[in-house]
Amino acid sequence: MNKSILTALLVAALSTTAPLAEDAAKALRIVTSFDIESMNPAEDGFWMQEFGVAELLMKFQPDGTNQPWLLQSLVAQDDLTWIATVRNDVAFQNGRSLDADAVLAAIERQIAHSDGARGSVPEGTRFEKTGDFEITISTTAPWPELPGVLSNEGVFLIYDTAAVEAVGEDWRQLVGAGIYTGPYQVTALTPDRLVTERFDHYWRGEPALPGVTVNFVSDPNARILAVQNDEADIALYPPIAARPVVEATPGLHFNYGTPSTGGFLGFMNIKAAPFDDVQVRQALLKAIDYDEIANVVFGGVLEQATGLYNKSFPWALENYETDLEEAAALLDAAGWGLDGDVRRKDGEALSLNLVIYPQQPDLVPMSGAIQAQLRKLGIEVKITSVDDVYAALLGNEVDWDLGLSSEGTVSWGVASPFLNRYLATGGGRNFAGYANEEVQALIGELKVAVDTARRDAILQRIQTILVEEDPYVFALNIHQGRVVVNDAYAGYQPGFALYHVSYETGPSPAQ
Amino acid sequence: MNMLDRFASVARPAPPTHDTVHWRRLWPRLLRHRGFCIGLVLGLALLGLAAIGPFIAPYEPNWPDYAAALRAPEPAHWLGTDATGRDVLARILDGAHRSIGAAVFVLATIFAIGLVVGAVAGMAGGVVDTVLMRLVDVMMTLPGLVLAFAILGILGPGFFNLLLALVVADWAYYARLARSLTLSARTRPDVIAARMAGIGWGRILLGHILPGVALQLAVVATLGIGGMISAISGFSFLGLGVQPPYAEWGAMLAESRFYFPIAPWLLLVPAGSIFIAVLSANLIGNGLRDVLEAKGRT
Amino acid sequence: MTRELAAAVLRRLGQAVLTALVASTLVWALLPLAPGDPVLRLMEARHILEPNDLQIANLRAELALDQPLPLQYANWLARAVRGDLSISYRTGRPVLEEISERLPATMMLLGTALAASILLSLVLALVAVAWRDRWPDRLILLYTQIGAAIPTFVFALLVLQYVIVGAGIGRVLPQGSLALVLLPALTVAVDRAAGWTQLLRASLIEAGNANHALVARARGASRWHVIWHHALPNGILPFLTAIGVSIGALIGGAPIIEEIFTWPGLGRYVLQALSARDYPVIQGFVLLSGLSYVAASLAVDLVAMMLYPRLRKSS
Repeated sequence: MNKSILTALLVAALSTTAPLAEDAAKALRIVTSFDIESMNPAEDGFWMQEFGVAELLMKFQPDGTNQPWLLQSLVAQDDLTWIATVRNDVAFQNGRSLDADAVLAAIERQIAHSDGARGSVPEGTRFEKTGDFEITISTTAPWPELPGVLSNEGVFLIYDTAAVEAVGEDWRQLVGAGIYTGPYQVTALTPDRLVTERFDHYWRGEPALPGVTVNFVSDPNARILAVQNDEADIALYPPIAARPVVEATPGLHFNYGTPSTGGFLGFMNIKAAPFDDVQVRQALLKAIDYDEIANVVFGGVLEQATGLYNKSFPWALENYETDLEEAAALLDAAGWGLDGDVRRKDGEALSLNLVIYPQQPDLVPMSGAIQAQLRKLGIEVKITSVDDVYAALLGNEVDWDLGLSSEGTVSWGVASPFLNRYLATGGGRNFAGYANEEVQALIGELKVAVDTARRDAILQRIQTILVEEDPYVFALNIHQGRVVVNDAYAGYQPGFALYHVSYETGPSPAQ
Repeated sequence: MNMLDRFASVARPAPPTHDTVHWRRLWPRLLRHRGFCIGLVLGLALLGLAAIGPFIAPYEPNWPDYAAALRAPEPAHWLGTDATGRDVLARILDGAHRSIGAAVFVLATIFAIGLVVGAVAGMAGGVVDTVLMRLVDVMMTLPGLVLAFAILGILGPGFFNLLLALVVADWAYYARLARSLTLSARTRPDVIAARMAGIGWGRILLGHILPGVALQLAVVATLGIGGMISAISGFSFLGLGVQPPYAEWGAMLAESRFYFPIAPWLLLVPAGSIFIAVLSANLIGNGLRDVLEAKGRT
Repeated sequence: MTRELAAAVLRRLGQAVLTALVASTLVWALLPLAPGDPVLRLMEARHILEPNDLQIANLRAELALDQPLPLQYANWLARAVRGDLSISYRTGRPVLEEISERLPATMMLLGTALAASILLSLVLALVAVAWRDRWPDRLILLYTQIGAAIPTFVFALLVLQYVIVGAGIGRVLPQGSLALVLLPALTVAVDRAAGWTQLLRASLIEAGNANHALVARARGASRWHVIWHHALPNGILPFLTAIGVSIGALIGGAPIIEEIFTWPGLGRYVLQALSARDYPVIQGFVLLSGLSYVAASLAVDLVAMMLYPRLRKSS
């Protein structure tokens, strides 16, 4: 092949796109993994929230609380009544101002059109206008999770319903219609990219950038190479494996931090030996070296687990402790004595079947590390990769002892959905049929407990039971956001809870 | 021509058609064929390493050593280490079982199915033949790789599912070939003579027809091994075959893709292993074909 | 001529119908063996992080996954005969639309690769035969041996590493344009042409040894005259057949090549569908690949008939 002809052709192809790139020189260029399919606010609007186009009434904070955002305040008047006061200085991008009517219309439209919204609102809940900027929310049972629900990007996005209804089902017409309140408004949505421009009258201040372009590139390698090739500034969702190469490449930075609301969790099969024995479960929790996993195996890109929850959350206990001696003592007490390098009971070796799945490649080094750590104690670990981890853990086809899975333990500040699904009797993902009476009662109480101190106490008691009395699920790490950025955005920190773009986001050289 | 041309471009010539052959007479010719000898030596060396490797390798193939991650080849790790400090040599040797062994296993299975179906169809004729050959036609309407993708897409990824998909994708070609070889063998003078001497079809099949058909089919299967190694490593590269943490050459390429720029040995070593394995299989297959063809002409 | 042509077209049409039937039945027949729940996988693929039960139930109903399989199949078939390949589970858009958006990029890649492979193997085989057993021939033979032993995807990884990333040629986010197709297409072509060159060289040599060619040579015809007028016309038929068959492999090899070069075509889309358990898309891909394969075979048939009038009778 003639390299010079090839190069000439490629240069020609590149130069035709050059003017475009120059026009948007100052706009932020993000590459993400997921496609945004449509402008339909009920189906795909949550994306708009992540990229600074749409906003919510409340905002979930890194300390685990929910603070008013488009609201001035949210106050619980009594156990069954909330008063939400809407800010009076907010306008939609199309100029219409935000008031109680507009918010109510958006809430009603979401309940009518979005399963995410409808499924989150308890039956009998009423939203009523009690002032130009005041909405009263009354319920038939206490609804302590309301602040979290109002922060959830999949529930009540606030948009101009009149403008949405006007286009019928032809969502493409919503491009340029300015139906949201965020700092950037959509000017184009193609199968390849979302293009937004600055909304000059944004209520919190002037957005820092002329616009944001979000390219959809499902291949993680291509996203990083796009930043390297100056086709993007920020690559979202980079694999941890990419870090050494990124850090060895001039002009590229691998930024991570901002611990999030979940992690890789381990589920023990308490239905079968050896985990039917509480002492063996307690021993496992003490045998795992959480520090090594987070800081050596993953080089600090994952946050060390000190308990089930992100330690900056007010209710989080830091009750994980690695102690090989005590783990060995517990195993001895459980009858699994050391026989050479292997622990045995009644002649049978102590062996675990560890289940991972290919959609999470980070589980490969994770499982390797667990295998190595447990071998020190005389526990043999076999690793099985299954295509559908939930089917494997719920069904009978895979003989599993320890299942690993990436899970969120807190949905926008709300802890009970996870507990209900994974720990409560009859929960859809209670893989091993965990049934602890006290935990069950606490989960029930959490659903209706309004008092914050009481809620924290309930969650702390559950965490204690899960370590000391009846272990079942535990965190191997806490996830953190991570991005690959170029020099211009070297100071960009990954957004908390998928808030990738705010009005303040702008070029930020290394600090 | 082969249906499952796979990720490698292995040309598959028409099989030789001739009388029964005897290994004793073939060996000297084969040993004079330079390509065959090179392929045989390479192949035997590879198989030998794969067989004794796990016993002599100083490291376990799946054992991480974070302190020794991403080491370039050095005395302690002849072929370097990967991102979690696993020894590449140990993984290459361990992966050889899956890469080469699976290819041989798949082709042996296909060979057996093809031989039985083809011989039955060719000998029985009539309705049996029609039914079997219509089934073969149906299987061959779809490109083999596409068929394999469909099967893996529904059954899900996994080593067993991959082997199953490859067998399903490729058996029909061998069955059709075995049938036509059987049909042409039926008209051979020695078969007709045996028939006229009153020997039953069963004995003729076993004594006169099958050995020749099997040999020729085996040559074609040998020619297919290289492509099958490519296919298995290709599907594993896509994450559809061997699952981590287990080593397979294509899967090793996939799991280390991000490190190629700073650790080129993670690209070159598995790629080189695949190359040598496919090359030796091709050389052996081509040598066999050349020698049998030359004999067929004389 | 026309009658034979019509017969060939008709036969391939019959094959096309058979292919379509096989492709459509195959996926549905295998579905009962499929593990897991596609709905949960889809929620993940749509990035709905914590779906509630209502979302799960409604998506299941929306995709008719709560109906018995035979009924799902019947509905699918009824729509398919009207040219509606259902909607993608993952994106909720019509499969046909999704496929046709990505098809041009794949056609461009495969078409360029095919043309380049044919050209390359023709030139190399002719050179090899013209200088048979001399250094050009030996060099070309070495290339064919090496090329046949390197799987295309491995070659593509090497090209990506040492040409695109290493030398900084090309773009990472190809937009499917003609100029950018060259590197991936040439990669496929260089690898694929190895086998074809080998084959064409062998059949050219055989045809060159035929009596009429030997007579021509004895009468003092030039080397190129013999190759051009005797070897090539007679030696090219096996080559054509090989091309026809290899088109199936070319189509089936598209996913891995597009994955490596991040080519925005059908192949990568299918890989995404595979991991998301997007059965209607897998279905559509199998159907379409089968039909393209038949169409390509028909094209090869027609070319062969034009070149070889005697074939028209035998078929």
